[in-house]
Amino acid sequence: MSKTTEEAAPSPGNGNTLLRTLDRLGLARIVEDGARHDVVVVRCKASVGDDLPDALRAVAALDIDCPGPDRTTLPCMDASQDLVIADGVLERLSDYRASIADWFRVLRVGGHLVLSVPHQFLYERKLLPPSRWNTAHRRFYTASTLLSEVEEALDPLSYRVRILEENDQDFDYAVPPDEEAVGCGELLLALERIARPAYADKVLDERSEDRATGRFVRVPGQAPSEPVVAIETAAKPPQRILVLKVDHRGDFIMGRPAMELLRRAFPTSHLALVCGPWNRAEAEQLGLFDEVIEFSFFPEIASHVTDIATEEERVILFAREMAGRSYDLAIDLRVDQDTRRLLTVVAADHRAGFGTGDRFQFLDIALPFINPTISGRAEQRLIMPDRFTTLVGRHDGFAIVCPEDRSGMAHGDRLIYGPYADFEPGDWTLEIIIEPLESDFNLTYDVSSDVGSNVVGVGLLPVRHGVRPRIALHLDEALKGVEIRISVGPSNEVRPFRFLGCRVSKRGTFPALHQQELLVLLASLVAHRMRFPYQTLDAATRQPVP
Amino acid sequence: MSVAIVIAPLSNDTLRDWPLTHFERLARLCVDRLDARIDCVGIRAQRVAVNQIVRNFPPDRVRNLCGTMAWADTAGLLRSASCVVANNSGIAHLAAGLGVPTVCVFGASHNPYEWMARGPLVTTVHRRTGCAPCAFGSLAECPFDKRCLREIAPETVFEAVRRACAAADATVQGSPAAA
Repeated sequence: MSKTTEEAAPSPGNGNTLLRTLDRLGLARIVEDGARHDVVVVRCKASVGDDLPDALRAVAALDIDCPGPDRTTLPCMDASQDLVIADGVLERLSDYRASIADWFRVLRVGGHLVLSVPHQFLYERKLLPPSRWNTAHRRFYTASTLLSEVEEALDPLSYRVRILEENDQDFDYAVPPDEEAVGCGELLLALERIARPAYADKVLDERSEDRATGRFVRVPGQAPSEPVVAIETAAKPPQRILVLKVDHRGDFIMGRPAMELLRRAFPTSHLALVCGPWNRAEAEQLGLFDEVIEFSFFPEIASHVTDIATEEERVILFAREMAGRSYDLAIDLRVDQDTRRLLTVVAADHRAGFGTGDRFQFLDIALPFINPTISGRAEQRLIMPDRFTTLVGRHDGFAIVCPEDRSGMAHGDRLIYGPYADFEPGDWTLEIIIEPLESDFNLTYDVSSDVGSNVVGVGLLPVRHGVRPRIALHLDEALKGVEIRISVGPSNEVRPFRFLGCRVSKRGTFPALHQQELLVLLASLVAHRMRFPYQTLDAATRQPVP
Repeated sequence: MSVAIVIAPLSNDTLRDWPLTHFERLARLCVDRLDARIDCVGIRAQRVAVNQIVRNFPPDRVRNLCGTMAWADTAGLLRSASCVVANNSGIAHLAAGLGVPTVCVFGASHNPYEWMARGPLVTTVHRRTGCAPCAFGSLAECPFDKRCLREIAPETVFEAVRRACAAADATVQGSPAAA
């Protein structure tokens, strides 16, 4: 039958087991010779004397009340004890971390802490508390859980585990769990306090395994202002939304899916549209907008108009139109960037449009992309010789001329370099216009950016009558300040030649996102972002930070 | 006001981790000033490291649950929290997506506007150091001793936690979020 009162509780242990553990640690004599050593036994008053060996009764003891306090504090100085034994106590204390830490605190280096607790599957024989046998037991222990409590409580570099033992001496496994156990049923854990190594703090520093390697070339130092910011979101969908669709009839039709998407995303919001007068009827017929505002940013037919107001003038006119209105969100549904500045004169908490945040810093929701109209267009231009520098000949009219034979120069010596031009991404062909004045020979070329540190092309440059060598260049990203260098080839020959510049051309690319798709992308982005709009605040002052 | 706070102090990259000593200080502020009960979560391999946070607290105040819960069970724990505090890590995204008030301490390795956790009640605390964002892949590459995170004070994050808990409390009571 279960016994649940403290007084009637059976003991899981056997004092002789404790002594045997001490003996294995070479500590039995310390206990027996208590007068010459500092030993503390922490015990529970209710169980004092039931099976503690005589040797342990004689030493200094702290008898705690049972059920016990949250934690114990030994009345001892730090590092003053050789041995602390906590026998049948830990399982009764709620603050096991503080108690273990305090027992450990009083140990000298080389001193031992011996813990004895009832074993969950020998003494308790139950999956979860409460205990059948002792109501004061707050927790059940296996070797793992006991060790976990120690690991939580103690600096891992301050002790070593010397003994961890599950004692089932004379335990009768035939006795069913609802009957009182026969035999030993405790867990014993003995720790030795060690001198904390000098490197301990380094080990406990999470940075210790990551040594800086010194590859820092692209990292700037401290910025003039380095605020801690709090980027806060709030579930507050926009109530008043302004949509700009000020371009032409076809543009308006292509924008319809995006407008429909916005209405679906914000079904209860007030949606106002700004459009050219030529699109007003279409806009009203759509039934998506609560208000339609006319504004002629473009003329209806550009070729019929000669005196178009400047962009600044049109923005000012729009500002007058927007006076007294305010919105939670304003969106410019135009891919080309010419209308973007209209957003600057709208009083809105959030502004959305195509373009990069760098260029349009007023955009809270900026959809950056490579405009297919610009990036996809074919290009062709001639870079004249005056954009190049020569080290061997002279500039002569529209050419660089080297009339003398300069053979014998070292392989790699530069002859001509320039033009430090910018190239958009794409497939480029560089046609070097160079011709021999006498016999054919070979030079070399390289194409690079970042003052030669980023070489994107290198090869042999044949200088032949009737031949214009071509360099193919595929650029995934834009390059600024591209340098083309023409140098002495491996044969060291530099025959008389004439250089007439470089023709560069880029093939047009046709696969692109459709305008309608781009507008839907922007509308989707806005709908997604505005589910949880956010603002950036200075964490200290709570003032908005751009 | 007694609040339940979940702290996920370690991500899968030390470059993103706010120092453990800062988390310990934050836990102290939360316990002392908010009467908080805190659960630290993580995987089993992080348990010993997280002991550095919990060691000086009573076990019924600050628990180390590293390695004790499956990912699916973690969501249940997060749902019951007044606030979840994490680095730029999966737990932050999970908590934010669940709509739990989330405070994310975000280092400079990544652009927060590109990678921060999104949800209805998220505060991302970030220091705009001159080197941000560096896009480094490991702490070994950082020449500044991770000061983007080290120089975010526990008191600053605590203020965000306090506001998040107040907002959660106000939401539960059906009134507007407290400022």
